Amino acid sequence: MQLVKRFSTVGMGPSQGRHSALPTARLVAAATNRSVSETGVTTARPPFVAEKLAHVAGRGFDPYRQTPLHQRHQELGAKMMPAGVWQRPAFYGPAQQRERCMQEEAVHVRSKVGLIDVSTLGGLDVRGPDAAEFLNRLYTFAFAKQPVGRSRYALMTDEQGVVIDDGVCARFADDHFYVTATTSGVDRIYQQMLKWNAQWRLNVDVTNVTAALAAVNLAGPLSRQVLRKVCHDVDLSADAFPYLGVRLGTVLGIPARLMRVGFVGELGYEIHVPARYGEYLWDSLMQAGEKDGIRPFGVETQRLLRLEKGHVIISQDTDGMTTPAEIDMTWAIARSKPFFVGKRSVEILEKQPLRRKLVGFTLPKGASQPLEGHLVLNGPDISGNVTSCEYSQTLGQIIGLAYAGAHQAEPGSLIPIRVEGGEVVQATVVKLPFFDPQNQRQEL
Amino acid sequence: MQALDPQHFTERSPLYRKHAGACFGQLGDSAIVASYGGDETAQAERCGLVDLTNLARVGFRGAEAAAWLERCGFSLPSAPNRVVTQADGSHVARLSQTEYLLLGSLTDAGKRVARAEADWTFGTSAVYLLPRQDSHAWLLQTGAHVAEVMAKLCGVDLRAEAFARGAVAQTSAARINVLVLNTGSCALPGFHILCDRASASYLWDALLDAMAEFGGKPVGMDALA
Repeated sequence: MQLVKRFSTVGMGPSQGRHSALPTARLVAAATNRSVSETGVTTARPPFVAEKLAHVAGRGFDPYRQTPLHQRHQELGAKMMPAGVWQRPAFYGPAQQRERCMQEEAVHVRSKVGLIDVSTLGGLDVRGPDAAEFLNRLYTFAFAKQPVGRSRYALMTDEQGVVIDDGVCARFADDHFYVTATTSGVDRIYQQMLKWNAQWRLNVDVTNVTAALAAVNLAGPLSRQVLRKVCHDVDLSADAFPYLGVRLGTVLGIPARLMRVGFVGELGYEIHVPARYGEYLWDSLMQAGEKDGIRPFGVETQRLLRLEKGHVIISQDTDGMTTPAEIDMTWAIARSKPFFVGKRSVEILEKQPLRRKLVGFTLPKGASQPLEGHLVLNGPDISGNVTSCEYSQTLGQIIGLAYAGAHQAEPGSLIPIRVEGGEVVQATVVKLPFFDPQNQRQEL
Repeated sequence: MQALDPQHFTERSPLYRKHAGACFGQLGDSAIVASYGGDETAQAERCGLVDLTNLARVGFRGAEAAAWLERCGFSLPSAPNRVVTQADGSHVARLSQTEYLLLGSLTDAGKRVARAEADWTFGTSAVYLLPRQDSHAWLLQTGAHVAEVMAKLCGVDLRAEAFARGAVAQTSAARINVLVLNTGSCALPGFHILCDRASASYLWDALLDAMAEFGGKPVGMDALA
C-alpha cells in the first residue's frame, strides 16, 4: 500500500484519502490476491474530522510569475508551459504540432541562430571580501583562484552528498560573483545560502536577483555576428571573449552581463540585463538578427538540444538520491578543498560500490520511443528509469538518458526498457555526448 | 504630458499592457499613465490604484549603509520597519538594522534617488546596492478604503490604529511577499505596495478584484498632483 501510495500519490489530494483510501486498498487487494485486512490501508493523520466549508471559504489565490518577455512569446504564437510558478514558451507554433515545431527550431539553432528567454534562470549576486570562500564552501568545485572574467560550472550537494542544484559562477570582480541556479531550485538555494552565511559569519552579501534581470540566450553559429550589430564596447572575437568568458558591457546602451555558455552545444551568449529593459532587448536582437534568419526557440527545444549534448538537468535527470558519481560529475569536485557541504558524505558514498549510473542510450528511428519514467529492466528486476528521451532530427535517431545498473552502463551494452503497452525495447548504451563530442561548436 | 506609446521607450513596466486606452506621459526613459479619463482625483480619494513601477527606487544594505545614505543627505528612520518621507517627497524605509529602501518622488521624477544609485560604486565600503527598481514592482493604493481592501488579501492588521503613518509591514498579500509602506496623509490615505516584479500582473489583478466592492479603479499620475 505504501508503495502504491508513493508511486501514484493517491490519498495526497485535497480529501487526504477520505474518498480514495478504501477503494485503493480494495484495488491493491484484488491485484495481489489478498484481503484488505492483509494489505492494510495508508496511515491516517489529522485532521480526523471533516473541515467545515466555512473554514476554507474566502478568496482563492493562485500566484503566477511572468518574465518581462511574456507578451512577446504570446504574440509569436508560443505554446506556453508551466515551470513551477513561471510560465515559459515550450515552442512556437500550434500545440498539436509540437514535434515539427521543436525539430525545426532545433535544426535552426544548429545551422543559424536562435533566441530563447532564460529569465527564469535563478540569479544570485554574491558580493564581498569572502565571496570566493563562501562559494568554495557551498559548491563542490574550487573558486578561490577563478580568474575575473571567467565562469565555472557549479555543482551543489546537500549534507547527505545528494546533488541538489547546479549552475555557473561568473566572476565579474574579485569580490563579486554572479551565480546562476536552476529555475525550480533558486529559492531553495537562496535560503541555503542565507542559512549557511548566518552560520559561517563570512563577510559576504547574498542577493536574489532572479526577477531583477531579464535574460536571453543567443545561440547558434551566427550568434556572434548578430550580437556584433548591437554590442560595440566588448570585443566579441573568439580570442578576446572565449568560451566560458564573462564580460560587463552594454547592448544598445543597456548595461548587460554577457556570458559565453554552451548549454545547447553551440556558440552562444547569455545576455542578462535589468528587467525594465527586457522587452527592448528582445526586440532589438530579433531586429538585429532578421537578415540572419533569427527565430525564437522554446524550452522543449532547448531540452532536446542539451540532450544531444548529454547535459543533465538537475531534478529532471536526478532524483532525491542522486550522487555526483552516478551522473559522472566527479570531475566537478575539488578534492584538495578541506570542506564543502556534503564532502564527507560524498567521500563515504564513493567508497561504496556504485549501484546505478545515468547513461546515454539510442534507439533507431521508428522504434517505440520510451517516455520519461519508463523502467529499465535487469532480468526480472528494475534497475533504473528513463529520465529524458526525444527523437533527434540532427542525429536521425531516438536519444535519451536513463538510470541503469552499474554493470549495464558500459557503452555498447543493451538495456531493456519497458515502454507503453508492456513492450520491451533494447536500447544501446552509448558514450556521451551524442553530438559534437569534441565540443568544437560551442568553442568557436 | 502628451499621449505616448510605452513601446517607444527602452524602459517598460510589466503592467503597461494593462493600461490600454490610458493617456501616457513621459517619465525619464519610460512612459507612465497620466490618466485613464474621468475625475481621477475623486477616484483616488475613494479607492485608486497607481502603477509607479517606472519611478526610481533602490536599496542599500550593509554595515555602512546608514552612514553612506546620511552623507547623501537622506533622513533615516530610527528603527526597522519604519519609513520617513523626505522634504522632496521621496521616502526612505528601513527594512532591517542595516537595510534601506529608497522610493523616488514624482516631484523630481525620481532623479534624487536615481542619482544616489548612480553615485554608488561597488567595493568602496560595506555598502551593497540592491536593484529594487528591477526586482520589485511598485504600486500605490489610495483612498479611504485602503485598509479594508488589504484586509481581503493580507493577514496583518493594516487599519490606522494598528498601522499608522510611517509604519512598514514586510508580509504577504494574496500569497506573495510584499512590502507595505504607509505614507498616506489625512487628505489622501495611501499604501505603497512593492512586490516581486515577475508577479506584478498577478497582484495588480488581485488588488483590483479586492477593490471592486469599493468602486476601486486604476488612476494615473495626474490624480496625485
